[in-house]
This record gives sequence, structure tokens and C-alpha cells, in this order.
Amino acid sequence: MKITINVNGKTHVVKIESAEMLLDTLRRLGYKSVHRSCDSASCSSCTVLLDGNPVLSCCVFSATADGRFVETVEGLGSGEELHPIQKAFLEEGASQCGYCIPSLIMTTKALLAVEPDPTESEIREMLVGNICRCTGYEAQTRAVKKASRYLRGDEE
Amino acid sequence: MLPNVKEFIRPETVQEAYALLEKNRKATVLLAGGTIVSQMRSSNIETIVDLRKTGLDKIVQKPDEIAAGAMVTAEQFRQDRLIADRYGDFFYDSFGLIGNWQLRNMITLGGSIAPRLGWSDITTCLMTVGASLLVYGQDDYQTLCIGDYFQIPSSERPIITHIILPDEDWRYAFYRFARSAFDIATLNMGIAMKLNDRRIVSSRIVCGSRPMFPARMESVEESLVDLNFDEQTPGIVRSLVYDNFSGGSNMIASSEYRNHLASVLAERAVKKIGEIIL
Amino acid sequence: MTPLAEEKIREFNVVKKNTDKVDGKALVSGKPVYTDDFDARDELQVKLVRSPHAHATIKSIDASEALKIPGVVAVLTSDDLPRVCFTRAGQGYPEPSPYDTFVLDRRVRYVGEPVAIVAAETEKAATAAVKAVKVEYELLKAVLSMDDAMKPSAPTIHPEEEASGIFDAERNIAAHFEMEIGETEKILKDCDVTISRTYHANTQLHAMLEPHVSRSYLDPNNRLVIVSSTQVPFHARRILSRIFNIPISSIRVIKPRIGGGFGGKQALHTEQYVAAVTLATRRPARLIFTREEVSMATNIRHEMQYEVKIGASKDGKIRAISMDGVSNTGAYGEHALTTLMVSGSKTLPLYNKVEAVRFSGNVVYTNLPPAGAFRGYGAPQGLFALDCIVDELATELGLDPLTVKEMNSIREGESSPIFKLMGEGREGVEQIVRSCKLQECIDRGKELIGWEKRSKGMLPDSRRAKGYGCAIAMQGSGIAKIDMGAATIKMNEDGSFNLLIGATDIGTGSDTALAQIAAEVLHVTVDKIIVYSSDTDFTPFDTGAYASSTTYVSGNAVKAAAEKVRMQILQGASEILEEPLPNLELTLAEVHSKETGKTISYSDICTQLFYTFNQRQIGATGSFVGEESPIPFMATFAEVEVDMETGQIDLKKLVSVADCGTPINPVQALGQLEGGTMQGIGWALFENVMYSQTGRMLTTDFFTYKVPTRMDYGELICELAESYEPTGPYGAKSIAEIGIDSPIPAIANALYDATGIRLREAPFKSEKLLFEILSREV
Repeated sequence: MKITINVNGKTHVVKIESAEMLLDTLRRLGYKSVHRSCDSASCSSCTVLLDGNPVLSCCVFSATADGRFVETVEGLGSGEELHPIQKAFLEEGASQCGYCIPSLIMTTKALLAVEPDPTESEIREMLVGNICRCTGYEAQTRAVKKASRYLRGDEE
Repeated sequence: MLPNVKEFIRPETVQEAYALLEKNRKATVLLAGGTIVSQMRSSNIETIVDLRKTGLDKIVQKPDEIAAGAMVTAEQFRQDRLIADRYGDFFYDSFGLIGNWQLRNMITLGGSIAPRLGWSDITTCLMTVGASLLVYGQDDYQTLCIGDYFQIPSSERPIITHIILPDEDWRYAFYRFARSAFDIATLNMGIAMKLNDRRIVSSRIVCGSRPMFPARMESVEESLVDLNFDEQTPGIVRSLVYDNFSGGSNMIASSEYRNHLASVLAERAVKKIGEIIL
Repeated sequence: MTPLAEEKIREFNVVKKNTDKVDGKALVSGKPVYTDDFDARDELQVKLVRSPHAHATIKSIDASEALKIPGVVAVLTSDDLPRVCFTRAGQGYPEPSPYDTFVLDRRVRYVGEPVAIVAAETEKAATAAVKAVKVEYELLKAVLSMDDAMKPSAPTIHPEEEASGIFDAERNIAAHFEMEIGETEKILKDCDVTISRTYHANTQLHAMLEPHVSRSYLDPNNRLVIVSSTQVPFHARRILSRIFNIPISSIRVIKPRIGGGFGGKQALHTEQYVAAVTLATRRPARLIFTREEVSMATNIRHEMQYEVKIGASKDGKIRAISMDGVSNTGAYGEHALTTLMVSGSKTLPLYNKVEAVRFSGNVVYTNLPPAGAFRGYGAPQGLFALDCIVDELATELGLDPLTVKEMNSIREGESSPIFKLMGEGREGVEQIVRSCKLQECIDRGKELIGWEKRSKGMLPDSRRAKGYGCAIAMQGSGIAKIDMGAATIKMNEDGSFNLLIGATDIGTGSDTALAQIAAEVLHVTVDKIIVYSSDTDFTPFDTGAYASSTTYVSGNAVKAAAEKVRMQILQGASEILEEPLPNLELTLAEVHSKETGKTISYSDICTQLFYTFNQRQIGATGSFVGEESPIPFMATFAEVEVDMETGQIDLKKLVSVADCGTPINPVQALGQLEGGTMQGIGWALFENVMYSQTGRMLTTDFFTYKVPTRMDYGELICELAESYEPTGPYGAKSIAEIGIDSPIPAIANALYDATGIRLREAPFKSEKLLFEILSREV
């Protein structure tokens, strides 16, 4: 079957198999920031925003994304310029191996859209699904706080 | 991944969806949020019927009840204004413990009940508030309680279209115990009480993840009728639940441990109800 | 006398600064950098047929139905492959692990062991083919626990005659080690107090987020190219050469960015299968494991049990320690001997003032998934036993556990005879501890946890009990006289440098730390260092990313190479400026004459040397092998609350303060400490591997295997103590592993403090704790 999806503002008309997962479709289209890890809805490495909400692309059937808007980390920043969230993650050492980072950045983007100044416990609650095996999470909490300051204009 | 799917169909009415299901039940699966169906590996499934376009994603106030569409997501439900007005923070708090943000954006009410998952916190919470199901099947629409729905043989089971939440002025509390923050419940416990002044008129004691499907502890409920709610009540419920618990062992916990947890969580739930009224 | 630490703690231009990761921008932008991110044409998708049985011989394999599936190109079985016995362990050569493995064998030894290789045009066809391959097994009795492995009734797991290096194959003992200094039993009998306890650390999964994956293809000259998510590209090349009997010169292994390893990628898990397919079909091939395969069919941590005896005088002076262990290596002996030895050699020297010490152990085969390298590498299992028994001893003596640990532990300038007696797989090296800020770690940790004003016991709600515990730990920095790293630096005419290193950044940030070391020597900013790591065709040799070696071993190699390049730059400048060498010094990207004030930029020097004047390339290779393995130290403090009605353990706060010498990049060093600590917390409280009665791992996904989330702990504070290791690059020693060593004992000690119940099997489970509480109340 054929579906039309909008990824980061670009429209793709793509042929898919009936039971294909959005994770596979996006990777095939070249959005390699969407990572496969557990493939069973339990690590969040494949998180993308679907109509603005963070979802796990490993268990979204591509067919249900027909006509909808998908955002991945490839859509952030412009050219050489990093998005403030990316900048904060880089500066705070929030990324070690980096495998969980694109999905975490996208979940953070969604979080800061609904809560521009989250407390530490809100950050932990809302990002709890994003498993990171490298960092121990502390630097990531610092990065989300810094990103929120950047986006609110409290820090350059 | 389902290896043999040939058709992905997006019907626009429940009637259409049911007809598609009836065509070949063995080879058809209904798709709601996707978290369950995406994990299926059966080579028998050839048709996916997606319920997304059937308009079942709204929460509506009816004369004596609230009707929540089966495709309403857990996050949508806990953030909903009507639900907050009726239940205060009960669903906001208890659904907030389920899975994580991403999963709550995906999992639906109907999709959580229909697979008959023993560990579903959603089912326990909905049973606690006395929810029933509006279903569509060969007998057209009918209303069933959750337990009765599963009495229907799976070969004839209708489609859950709405969760019906009765208008009632009860008090609710929900607790779950899990081994870690992102884990299915080792055991969950929902308690609802209808009180006349301090007298317990009626109650629902719902225990799930036993690990079997959530069930009401009717003998405990009966013993509580007409008791006066006071400082002793949580302790009484604790021992009643301890004595009447029936559960099993699995890789997560032993039956004995669950028995303890059930009694402790019941006590805490009743204490919390007590905080509201005492 | 060797200079000690305080003398050299200082500030630098680039080192000890929080430079952004050199690959950081790509990572936060989601650029295609991992092995599976590269698309290839005409590539075969590889899947493995795996055994459903824990122990069986293969009677027959029928691939005829599988080969009929459209798109299926090949099904390879043991008959199609060379019968070469090897070890998958990526270690220095000759490896201390037994050769007991074949790419495919006619016997399977754990559930999930590969039986056949399937290659198809699509993943779907490959998956269908895996199901269609018919394998007939003859079942054998399986050994599913350490206790059963050495029983006379146990079947022999490795009867194959080709195997070598197994200690006692008939009794399923893969490796054995014992050593004694002094007369341990005699002194234990003579002590005022002697206690004996048994501790059991269960296995753990690496659970790195990027699954094991590799791709292979033939280059235009028919050389075999492997792109792999590996920690050991040079070992992989050597092992593949041996298995397939092709020269090392015909193999190239490339390591792109890696999505985590923790030891789990320090062995060949996928490379041999894609290589087999490419060699058989002459076509590119790709194999990426599912999460289930990563969990049950790669490597796991060695489960270990220790019986420990300790004796002390009344005043708390520890006089003798004896540790007797058994370790479970599963179906294959990867890292069997070395992890056992490390569990003693990187724990017992902490208590170097004993009169006698004994250590012995057997590593046994079972029909469970093969154990392998995993962060800590035996040390955390050993430390669980050692630290807890010191804690228990203190309680027995009526003394404060921390005081007993402080008064008996090693200090700067001291040594231990164990350094010489126990290396990794062989004798170690004599060394004195040149830098040790253990006391500073303890003092700072006490401050951060509030040790002096702590109050334990029941909280006002009278259902939760609070308690505190501490543990002290050590590790090493590379394997002395074994781990070797090399670096090549070449200069470009814009004043930038290519840093080519065999060192393998698996997400640790080592590329960045090594660039900082080069930049410091060369007096440039880090952006002038272009790092390329781990490509066996283009970078010099390095043993790989393991044993906490990269910063120390590879870092010293980078420093050596950079110092040579620095001399060449000065020489070039001297020729161009016509100034004698002693007049010249490096300033930021320039050479400056102290006498005449003449200055020339690096860019000018290199441009002239390339194109117009005394033409040549500035460049050099440096290498380093440690003569010793400097020890990082750490103190960990835990604060727990236990729900006495449910047994729920709430880790309120955990503090780890480590001495890693100079942190080359403090943020990255802290990240290693925080990450290691979190893995230790996970192992202590959540990560519980379970098997079915037939030996199938049941906890293969993250629903059943609980990697800690960001909601599973309270406060985590990690800090670094100021220190300087004289033999390290700019004073650095290691930080990668030590964080995982101490959370288990610190939490165990805190649980005892809170409840009076001593749990001696990790991970600690609420259910077990509750029933202990209930049984005590009765």
C-alpha cells in the first residue's frame, strides 16, 4: 500500500508493506536518527513526534501514520546551527554513546512545549521511558534544565 | 512483526469494522494503539483492521454517565477535563503511573481491556469506578460489565466501542506495587467506597496483576457493608483482603508475596479514602 | 623517591577542561554514524538459526525447504565452515581464554547457540528461512547451575578433542587459580575474631542500546572488509584471519561510532557470520541482532559466589583474609580465568596490611549463555564479598565499619605483594601506589552523604526504616605489560593535525580525551585535532577499549606521538627562522623565539615544508605499554529506606567520589563515573536475569529485565578527588570501570544498617527482604 507522510516538513509518498512499522519506514527513507534497540516498546530509542506527541515508532504501524506529521531530530537546528536543546545536550555531556540521544532530544522538545520550565521531578517523570545505559541520567537532567533556560531566553 | 499480513484496512464505522472482523476472525486482528499488535508474531494473521478512523476517540457527557471512546488514549483520558471534574485527581494520578509518556500516548482504553491482560492498571482502575462496556456485535449495541464481556466466547466477541462511567459520588483510591518505575505491576489494588455519612453503603475492592485478570473481592465488599468508617477500617480491610486473596505465582513474584502486597495496598488505599472523609 | 601526587596537581591549556565531544555534534544531530546506518546495494541479510535446547548434539540439518523460499541465497552449517577451535574473547595474543569454540559446531551448549547461518535478499526472507530450516537434535543432560557443574554426575560440556587451554574439561572446570601469601589458616585461627560468610553475585546483562551488528563486503581488490560495532577491531581482524585462514593483510576492520559496549562487544559475536557469508557468496552481508539475541546469545556477566573468611584483632586490625570462589562462565570460557583473577587482584590489595591472604577459585562451564567481559570484570563480584565481610567483621567487633575500612586500607606510597602475584591470566607486576586519594574520597563522601549526623532507624511514619552504608573500591588502568596502544599524528598545512588512533571510542568520549592530550602537547585548540579511530587499515595498533586502558595506555601513546611531532615542528621552525632550537618555544599554534621575538605560525611552517622549503611531512607514531597499572580509588556511600511492610527498597541517595588522577575531560570523566555507578545500582536492585527450567533466558527484553530508569533512584552525586598519577598522561589514570564496583556492597551495608538484615545475594529483592523481615518478627 501507499501512504503519504510529512516528515520534518517534507512530504513523502511511500510504498509500504501492510504490517510495516513506522521505525522501518523512517529508516528506509533515510531518517537514521530513529534508532532500533529493544524493538518492543520498552526503551524509547525510536521515539518520534507524531502530530506533536512523542510515540514509539517501533510499534506504530506505518499505515496509521498516513496523512500525519512526523518530527525527528533531523528536523531540528538549521544548517550548521544546533537547536538550543541539542546545544545544551552537547555542552552538558549528556550524550555518551549517543544512541538514545535523538529520541531523548525529541521527547525533551515535546516536554518543553507543554512545560517550558520543568522541575527535576517533572523531567524525570516525563522522560522516564527514555532508557540510557551510559550516562546515569544526571547530565541529561542538567541538559534539559539548560535547554529550558535557552528556550526561555534566560541563558545565552 | 506479523509476517503474513496482506491487508491493512481502515474502516470508518464500527459496523464496517465488525463486518470485516466477522469475515475471518482467525486471520484478523483489530488494531487500536499498536503496542500489543506490533508485538504479535502469529503467521495466521492476514488482515489488520485499524479502528483509528471509527471516531471512537472522544469523551462525552451523557445524561447519567460519561462515555469514553475505546480509542481514547491513556494520556488523553488522564488529561481530560470531564474526567477531572468527575474524578478529581484519581485518574490523573493513577494513570500517571502507567508505562511512560510515549506509551500513554499510544495505549487506548479499549485496547487495554480487550486483550484481557492480567496486569493492566487501566482495567483495575476502570473496574474500581464501576465502568461498564458498550460493545457492538451480532446483537447490535449492548452494555456489559467487564467480567461479562469475557464470558462471551472469543469467536463471537463484539467490539468494545465505549467505556461507560456511571455518575456516582463515591471515593476512590488506587495503589500499585512494581519492582521498578517502568515495570508492570507486581500487584495493583483499586478501592471505591460509597458512604452515607460514615456508614459504608457499598464498596468495590478490585485486585489486579494477581497475576490473573483483575477481579473484585466480593466477600470483602460484603463484609464491609454497614460498617462505620473509622480509624480501624484500614486495618480491618487489610486483614479481610489478606484472608480472602486468591492469586498465583509467576516470574515476577510468588503468590505469598502478592498476598501480603494486596493486604498492605488495600490498607493504604482505605487510609487514603479516610484522609478524604475523616 | 618517586614524586607523589600533590607535587604535580596543576592547570593546563586544554587538558582538565570540558571540551565538547569531538563527535558530539553528529550525535546530537542524529547523523548516520552507527554500523546499521549505512545502506548498501545488493547486500544479503543474515540471520542465525538458533538452538532451542541447552545441551544437545545435532543429528541432521535439512535446509531444503528454506532454500526454496524466494530470495534465500545460502544456508551454511558447520559442514560448510572450517573446523577451527578458537575463543571469541577479544584479548591480547596469546589469549588467556581457552580455545573451546567453533563458528558453528555439531553440539550446542546453551539455548540460543547458533546452529546455521541463513543469508537472503531481504530480512523477511531470511526470517522465514530460519523457521524453515529443520534441525534434528539428540538431547543431552544439561547443567543449569554452578552447583551442578562439578558434580560427578554432570555431563562433560566440552569433550571435543580440538579444545585447548581448558583447566579440567572432564570436570567442567574452564579455569582455576589459587595463591597464598603467608599462612592464612594459621593466622585466622589465632585472631581475636574470625568470621566466615558466603556472598553470591548473580549475572547481569550489558543491555547496551545499540544491538550487536556488523557488515561485510569485499573491496575492489577482494579484501574482506568488516564494519562492526566492536570494542576490539584489531583482535577481531586477528581472530577472523585464524578462523578463515586468510592473511591479516587481506582483512580490514572498521569501527564506526558505537552505541555502547561495557565489555559486551569485546568478543566476536557477529563478525564471523557475516564474514562466512561474504566469503561463501562474494556478496556484501549484514547481521544485526534482535534484542532477544543480544540478551540471551552474546555474553553476560560471570555469576560468582565467594566463601570469605576474615580475622582481626580486637582493635579492628585485619590480620588475614581468605577468599574461595566459584564463577559461572556458561557454555564457553571467554574471559574465564581473567575475570576470576581480577575479582581478587583488584579488591584484595585494598587491605594490604594483612599478615596473610589466600585466594582461590574455579570457573565452571554450565549450559547457560556464555559469560564474558563486563565493566568491572570480576572486581565488583569480589568486592561485594570483601567489602561486606569487612562490614560484618566491624559489626562483630562493635566498631564502626568505615573506621575499620579506613584503618586497614592501602595508602599512597604503599604496595601489596598481590600486584606481583596476580595479573590477568598470568603473573602481575610489582608496583607501588604512586597516587592514592582514597582518604580524600572518603572524607568528601562523608560530607556529601551527611555521615556524621546521620540518623538511622524507623521514620516517623513507623513503616519505613532508614540506613546508611559505605564501601571502598579500587580498579586498574590497563593490563600492565600486555595492553599496548599506538597513535600516529600527521600535520596539515593549515596547522591542523590528523590524530590516527587504534583506541576504540565506544561512546566513552575517548576520542575527545585523546584529542585534548594531543592538543595540550602541540599547543593548539582541540578543533585543530582531527580524530580518526579504529580502522585497521588506517590507524596503528591498539588492543582495544577494555580494562580501563584507553586514557592511560592510549593516552600515553598519543602523548608520545605528539611529543615527537612537537620536536619536528620546532626543528622545522628552526630551519626556516634560522634560529637555534634552544631559542624556540611553542605558543598557541605558533613557534616563537625567546631571543629574537621572531614568530612563525604552524600553518606557515607546514606550508613551507610541504611546498617550498626542505620539503617533508611532519608526522610521527608513538606507542605505549604500561609498566604498571595505576589504581583509581573510590568511596561510595548509600542512604536507603526500606518499606517494612512491602520490602520495597528506596535508594534515597548515593554518593561516589573517585580518584582518577587528572580528569582529562572532567565532564566526560564524571559521565563515566555516573554511568558506571548507575549500572551498579541497577545490578544491586533491579537487574535480575531469570531462566526457565530448560535453561532458556526469560528476561530478554526491557519489560522483564529492568534497566534502571531515571525514576529509580533518588539523588546521585558523583565527584572526582584532586589527584595526579606520575606515570599517566598529564597525571591521568582510569575512570571507566570503577563506578560499578561499589554500589552493591554500599547498598547491602545500608540495608543492614536500616533493617538489621544482611542480604548476601545480589540483586537484592523486595520479596526476599520482606520475608526476612517477617520471619524475624515471628
